[in-house]
Amino acid sequence: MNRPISPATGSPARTTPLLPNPVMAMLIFVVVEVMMFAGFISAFVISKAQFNVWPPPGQPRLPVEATAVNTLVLLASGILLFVAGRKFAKDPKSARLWLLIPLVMGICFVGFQGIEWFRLLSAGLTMYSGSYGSFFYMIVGMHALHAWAAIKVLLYLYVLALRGKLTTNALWTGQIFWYFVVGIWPILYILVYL
Amino acid sequence: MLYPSVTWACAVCGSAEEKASGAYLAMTVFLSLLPLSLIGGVGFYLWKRSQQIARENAELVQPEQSSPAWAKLITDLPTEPNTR
Repeated sequence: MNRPISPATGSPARTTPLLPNPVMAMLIFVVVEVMMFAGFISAFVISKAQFNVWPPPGQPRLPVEATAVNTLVLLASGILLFVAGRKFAKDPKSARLWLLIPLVMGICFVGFQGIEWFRLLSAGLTMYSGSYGSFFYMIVGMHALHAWAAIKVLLYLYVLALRGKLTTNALWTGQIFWYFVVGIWPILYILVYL
Repeated sequence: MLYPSVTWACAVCGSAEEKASGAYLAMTVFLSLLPLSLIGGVGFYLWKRSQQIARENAELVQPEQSSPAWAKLITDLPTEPNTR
């Protein structure tokens, strides 16, 4: 079997890993988290099927329209982070602004969710007000927790970019996490809100 | 077994309605196939990546250095027949 030889040095070329370790670790983490959300979704769908009317009578209605706009903001942040990756490959300095915008959009998303939660709690929808409230806060809350963690990752990446220390692998890892947060939200929105 | 609606011992027995049974079936299929799809997807991506790396490495292989050194010595030997 021929070993690859580097034309520049004449010595055997370095073996390239299939994926960088942080990226592989993030992929495994995302797979695990997807399964966790799948468990929540499964429990929610089965529980919902036990009711003839959903949402149960007497429960406050969820802010469908406002959250739809918030969903668009989150989706746009995912697209902008993709653009940031492309910009970073060409010129790392030009990617700083493109990293900042998704970060701000993510903060807006979580902030708006927090405001809506406050309104719903004021309207009487709590974790203990029935399976409707329990599932809502568990599923949406778990997503908000992931979104918050991903925002911290984006913030870290942005600080690295400002210092000129951001690497392709670090950005790739952060992108996977954010894409997971962005990608799973429309599914949760359709299931829980609609 | 005889009175599932009374005992509610089993979650599936408790939901004899067609809608709930359909949800159980759908979620069973969903939770069975999802991990396979995820692992299969990651595996497929790694396979594609390994193919890409193999192609890149193949471009780095130099044909003249790929043959062993003793093969070059053999080819450098005189080819005239031994007349002694």
